[in-house]
Amino acid sequence: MIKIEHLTKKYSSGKGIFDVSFEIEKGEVFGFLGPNGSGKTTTIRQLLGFTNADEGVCTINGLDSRLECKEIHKTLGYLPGEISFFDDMTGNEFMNFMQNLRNNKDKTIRNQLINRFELESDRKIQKMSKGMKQKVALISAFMHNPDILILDEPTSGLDPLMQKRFIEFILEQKALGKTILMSSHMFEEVERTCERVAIIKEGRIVAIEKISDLKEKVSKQYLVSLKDNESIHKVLNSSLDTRSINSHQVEITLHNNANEMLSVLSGVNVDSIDSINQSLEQIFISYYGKEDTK
Amino acid sequence: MIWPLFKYNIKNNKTLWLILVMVMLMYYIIIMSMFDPENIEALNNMLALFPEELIKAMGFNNLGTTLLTFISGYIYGFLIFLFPMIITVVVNHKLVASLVDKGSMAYLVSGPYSRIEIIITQVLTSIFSIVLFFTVTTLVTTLTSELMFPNELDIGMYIYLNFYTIILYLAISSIAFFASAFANDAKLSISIGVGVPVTFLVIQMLSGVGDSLKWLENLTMYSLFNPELLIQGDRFVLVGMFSLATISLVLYSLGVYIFNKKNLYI
Repeated sequence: MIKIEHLTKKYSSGKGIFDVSFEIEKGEVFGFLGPNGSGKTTTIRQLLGFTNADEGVCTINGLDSRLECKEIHKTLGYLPGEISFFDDMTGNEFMNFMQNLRNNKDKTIRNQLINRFELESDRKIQKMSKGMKQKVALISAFMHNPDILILDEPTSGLDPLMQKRFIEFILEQKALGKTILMSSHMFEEVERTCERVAIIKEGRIVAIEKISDLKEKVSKQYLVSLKDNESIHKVLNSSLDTRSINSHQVEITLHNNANEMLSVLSGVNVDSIDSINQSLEQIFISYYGKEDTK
Repeated sequence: MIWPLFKYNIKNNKTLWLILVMVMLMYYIIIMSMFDPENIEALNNMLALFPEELIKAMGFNNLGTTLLTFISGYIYGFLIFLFPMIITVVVNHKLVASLVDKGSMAYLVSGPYSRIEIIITQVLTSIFSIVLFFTVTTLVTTLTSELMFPNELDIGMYIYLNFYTIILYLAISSIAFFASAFANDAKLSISIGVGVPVTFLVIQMLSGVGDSLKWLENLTMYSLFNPELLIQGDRFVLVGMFSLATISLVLYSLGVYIFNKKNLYI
C-alpha cells in the first residue's frame, strides 16, 4: 500500500535520510520510531509529496507520492508533526474550511470525534492549549474517513487519558481495515497498536521488526531473595539460568521454563520474588543507541 | 481554481484592503476638492512657492488645466506608488510565503489538489485584489467628480488611465508574488516584495529632480508608466503597457513554476 524504495534526501547540513526502504501492507498499522532529528518527518514529507527526493521513490497505492499526490490525497488523512493552523479561526471554522476543501459535507465522524476527544471546538485556535490544538489536527485527519493515514507524532501534547482514548480509536480504525503509518515517541501506543515498526537513526533504517518478534526478544528476569544459604546453593545449582547477585539474592532468567522455576523455588525458603522485566521500551532504546540498556 | 481557498483568501485580506481603498479614496476626494476649474493658475502659483526639485520628485510638476490632468498630476505621479503597493506586498506575502513559513500550507498541499491548482488560485486572488482595487476607486472617483464638477472629467480618458494603472500594478504585484512563491521564509519574501518597488520609487523620484539624474529613469520599471504621455495620446504608452504586461506574465508564471517544483519543508 505504502512503499518507500531507496529514498535519499540530503540537506545542505549533511543531515537527511539515506537509502530508506520499507513497505506497509494494506490494513497494517506501522510504527515509525526514532530519536528527534533522525529523519522521521523528512521521510513523511516525502510520502506526502512536499519535497523532491534526491534518489529513490515513494508510492502509495502504486501512485508516485510526488507526481500523483492529488489522486493519493483524496483518500489520505495527514496529521502534521508541527501543527500550525490558519490565522484567526475557531476550531469549528478550521474544520469547516478543511471539509470545504474536500467538498465533504458530512459532519458525522467529526462530531463523534469531537465528543470522544472532548474538544471545545468553538474556541479560537490561537487561544487553545497544545493538547487542544493536537485534537483539532487529529480530528481533521480523520473526518473525511480516509483509507490511509499518515500521522506524525499523533499523541504529542495529549494527556494520558486522551492518549488511552487515541489508542482505542486507532485499534478501531485498524479493525475497519485502515492502513496507518504513525511516527511516535510513545512506546506504549506503538506496542499496543502497531504490528510492525521501523526504527530510524541518523537518517538510516536500523531495524524493521514485528512487535511480536521484539516481544520475544524481551527476556523475563526475576530477582529472588532467599532466606538461607542452603536455599541459595540449591537455586544456583539447579538447571535454571541463574546469576548470583549477593549473599541472599539470585537473578533468574527464564527461557520459556516458568514451571521449572516454580518447582525449584517451591523446594527452598523464598523471601520475595521481584520481576525485573526488560520492557519493549528498553529494546527500542537499545536501537536508538544513545543510551544502552542495562 | 479552488473556491474555498479563494474565499479564505478574501476573508483573510479584506480588512487591510478596505482600509487602503478608503485611504486612497480620501486622497482622491481631498485632491479633487482642491480643483477649481475657474482658477487653476492659483494652484500652480501656490506650488511654485515650493522648491522645484521637491515638486518634481513628488511628480506634481504638471497639473495642466483640466480635472483629468489635475488628478493625474497629483495622484498618478507619486501617491499611486504608495498605498496600493502596501496592498500588493501584504496580500502576495500572505498568499504563499506566509503559509509556507508558518507551515499551514501543509493543510493545503495534503488536500486533494495539485500544487498547480493551489498556486493558480493564489495568482487569481492576487490579480483580483488589484483589479478590484482600481475598479472600485475608479468607479467611486468618477461618480464623485460628476457630483462635484459635472461634465469636467474626461471619463473615457480617466478609465483608460486607470486601465494603464492596473497594468502597472499587475507588474508590481507580480514581483511580490514571485518573491512570495520563491521564498521559503517570511523575511526574504517581504524584503523582495517591499525592497524592489521602493527602490524603483526612489530611483523614479531621483530621476525627476534634475537633468543630470535623468538617466536614472532607465533603471526603474516605473518609467514605463507615464500618464502625461497617455493624456497626450503618445504611442509610447502602448509600448509601456506591453512591457509591463510582459513583466507580470513572466513573473507570475515563474512564481507558479517555482512553487510547483520546489521543496516545501512544512
